[in-house]
Amino acid sequence: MRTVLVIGDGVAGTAAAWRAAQGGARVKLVSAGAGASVLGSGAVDDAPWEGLVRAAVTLGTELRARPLGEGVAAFAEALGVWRLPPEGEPMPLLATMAGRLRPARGHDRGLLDLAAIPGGTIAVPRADRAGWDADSLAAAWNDDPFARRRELRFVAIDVALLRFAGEQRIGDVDLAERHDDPARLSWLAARFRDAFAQSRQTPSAVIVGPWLGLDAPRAEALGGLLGLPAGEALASAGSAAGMRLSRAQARLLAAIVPTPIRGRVTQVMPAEDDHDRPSIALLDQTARVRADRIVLACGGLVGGGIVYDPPEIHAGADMPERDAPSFRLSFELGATPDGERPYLASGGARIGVASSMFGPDLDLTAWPTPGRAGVLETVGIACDEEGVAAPYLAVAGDAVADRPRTVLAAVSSGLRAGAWAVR
Amino acid sequence: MRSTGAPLARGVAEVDVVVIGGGVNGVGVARDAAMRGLKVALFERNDLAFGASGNSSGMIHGGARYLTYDPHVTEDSCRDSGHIQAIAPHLLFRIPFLMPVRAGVARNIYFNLLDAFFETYDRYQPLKRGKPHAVLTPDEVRTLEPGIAGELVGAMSWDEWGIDGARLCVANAVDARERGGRVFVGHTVEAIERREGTGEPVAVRYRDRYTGKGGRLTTTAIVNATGAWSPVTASLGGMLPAHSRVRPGKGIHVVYDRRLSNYAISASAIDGRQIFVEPWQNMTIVGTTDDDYYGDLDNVRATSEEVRYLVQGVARVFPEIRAARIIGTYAGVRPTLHAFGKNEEDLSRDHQVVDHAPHGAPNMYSMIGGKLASYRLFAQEMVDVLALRFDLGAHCTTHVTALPGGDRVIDPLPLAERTGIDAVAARRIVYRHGARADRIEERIHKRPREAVTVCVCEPVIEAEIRYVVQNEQPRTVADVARRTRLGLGACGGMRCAARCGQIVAEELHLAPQEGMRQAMRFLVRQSQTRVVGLGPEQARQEALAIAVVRAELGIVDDGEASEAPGSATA
Repeated sequence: MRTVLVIGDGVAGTAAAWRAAQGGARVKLVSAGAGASVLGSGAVDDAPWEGLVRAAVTLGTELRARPLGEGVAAFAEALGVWRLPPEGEPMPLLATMAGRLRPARGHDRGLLDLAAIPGGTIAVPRADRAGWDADSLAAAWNDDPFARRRELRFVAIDVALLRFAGEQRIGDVDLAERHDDPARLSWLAARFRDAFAQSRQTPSAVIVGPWLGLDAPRAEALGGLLGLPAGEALASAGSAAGMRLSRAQARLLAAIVPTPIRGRVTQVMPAEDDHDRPSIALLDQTARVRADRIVLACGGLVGGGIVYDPPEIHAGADMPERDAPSFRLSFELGATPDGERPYLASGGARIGVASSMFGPDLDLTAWPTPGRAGVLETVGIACDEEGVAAPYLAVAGDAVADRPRTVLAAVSSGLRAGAWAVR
Repeated sequence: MRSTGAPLARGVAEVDVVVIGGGVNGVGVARDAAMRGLKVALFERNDLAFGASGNSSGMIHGGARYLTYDPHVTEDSCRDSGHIQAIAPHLLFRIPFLMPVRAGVARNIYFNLLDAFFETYDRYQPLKRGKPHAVLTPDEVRTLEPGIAGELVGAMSWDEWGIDGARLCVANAVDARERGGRVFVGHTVEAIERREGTGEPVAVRYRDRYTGKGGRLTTTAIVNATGAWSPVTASLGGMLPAHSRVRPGKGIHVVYDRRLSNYAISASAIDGRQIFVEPWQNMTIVGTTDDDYYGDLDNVRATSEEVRYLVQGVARVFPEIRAARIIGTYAGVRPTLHAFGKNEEDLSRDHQVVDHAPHGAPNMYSMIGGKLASYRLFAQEMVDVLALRFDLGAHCTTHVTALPGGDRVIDPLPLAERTGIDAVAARRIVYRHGARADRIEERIHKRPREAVTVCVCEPVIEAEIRYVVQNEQPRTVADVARRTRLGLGACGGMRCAARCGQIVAEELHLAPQEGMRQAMRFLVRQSQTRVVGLGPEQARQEALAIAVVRAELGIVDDGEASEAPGSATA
């Protein structure tokens, strides 16, 4: 039985572990804690959506769901928190807390899909919470071209949805967790019904903040109680959807890897000779962990797998102490016996030694522009089409160079790496 | 100073004086002129404090460096610092300085000379309610500021005042308006009409840069207070740019995420220039550079080389600076007095009123040079000239009349208790608005939900943003940031810019999508100022910010966000 070691338990690592286990491997998993996946927004993108909107405008076509990568639908099924419409169906449309409506290939089932609503009013409850100004949000969403086109009208209504003192101040995820309680959810539904009765109007749908459940999306349950679609607006970095994904991953992984290894990887090495196997070293742990193949799903800049570390930061005098590229991995990645060492790349080119303090052209290329991804989101380990960076090593997720930093790109690369590991 | 012809009549044109430029000199003149009974209009092309005034080191220092060759400048600076303190006490905070002196050959003699120098400076300190200097032993230095490296002879410590330059400008502009002045923010003067023959100004033609709407305003006199833009402004009136020449010196500052030291620490850059690390409001500033600048004045940015120059210089006395987290940079172009034709004797002064009568343009004046500490005095000198021309009897009272919010002291803690807002937020409100914090409090009592925090880093509450938009004439999210420091903290606005855009759009009756575009422009522009100083921690934050913006706003070009998605959806 082949042993596969997956480094990282974000969405890419989960996909790799799941796929390797499907392929009959014994899976080991190492994680240093939460990364970028838990900070996700609940939009399940396969490509940056701005580009899709632009292309659709240019070509005058409808936004239809594109085909999913191999195994993605099955993985999503196993995960249980996403809705991914089949190829060819209208793309979901999500309302963001920043006030936009945006398409997505799929979404966390807690988020309200506006594409599924055939027009009409959508109730936005007023809640005395920071970042949720129902009137402002309704005005912003109503001003979005998508809303006008689809004849959706967002209307702020008074709903007493906060039940206990202090709920104005608690975090979104804390409020979301309270709605995991069926009694609380029924209470919330009752408040909505009260509000509808008072205004003598029943909307086509209800949209709330990211407050509907942490263990699982409770939007469908709320919708069932109300008899109309209900769901959350999209929030990022610290939203309930990110937490729901994280919990779903944990549940899936628990069935595959009962005892994951907690620790920070300091070194990833190929086999030293024919009798050896590839191995990793962990911080403050003497024993090395060995496996036949290794999948690196350690995250990119956000997750901490890749570090921006221009040499000048460490310079004691006026000149830098060492020549080094401005980006590096957060651990040592060993060379194979024939001297080949995986390297970091961005924009199809190897990241070299910085020519100025903060790297070549970083001033101009750090942030993305329409049509060009920024360096900070493309830097990663160079690998081939299969995601293989060395004979023993495949890369997945944000650690891969030049892949869009989207959830489905991470899943696809994870599944691909998992499949390679058992091949 | 020349002034030609018979006294000018007031009330002949729509306004008596047009002031061009919303920096500290311009708003200072507008306020003083309005207080003395002149009808005044001020035009600012970008935003109040957009240039040097809002991008300075944030101090009204006493000008100790003038002491050796022109003590009058020091005396004026100190006296006027005292005046500013009297009229806007809420805006000032004490910054104790520390100048460590390295051990070495003949350093004791140098140390004693410094002591004597600061003894002279002490004579002026009472004018600005400063404390006399202190001579510190190496041990004392290490106790007070453990981060200072190297073998020391000792250190000098003295006293300066910190201030938020943007708030100072806004306070003056608000006061000018409340006294009948008209202030046009985001309006550029496109042409100055002059009477044929005499060359006197007749009117200015202006355009709102956001709406494109143009207009014309008749005036009797014009004051060019456009700082580094002065030559450009002069050429609008048909004068040679050389008649209003400045030496544009670009200065950059690097901003850190917290207060790194107890004292402002003075250091020498690699070329011997004096630079410093300065705890300022709730962050740390390292500054400053001085390079000639002839680029686009509307878009001045720090470069990574300039950041390196400062960091390396400061690291020699304060090595911890290398490990600290840079969260941004800002840059401004100071309009240093240029060697100007016939007035070379005035060169040692740091500001000068230029009368353009000898250039064939009577009743037109340029204010050249100046600094934050003596802006009020400079404005007074300018309005004294105008007062003479208009034959006004009124004397300047700007040094004894409180700026808005400067009339009373408000205790932030009871304010926090009454409104239920965070004590730190309350303190920041009181700092920015002084007694007018009352008006923000009133808003909260009327609409309790406005107590919510919008920007967590600073922090800024919703009531303050709405108050600022209604009363301080911002046009965009970036203008609100300049007035409240919203979005200028470690997260770079990824949490609050979009929300602020919604509020700005609501209050200014713009389309919500326009507010969003403003937020996007602010985010991109701020990212450009951060990236030149990026280190490991901020890079991670930056990557996260990109992900957040991609998820919620989308990466868009200017003007693209409102484009209808065509037949993209059925």
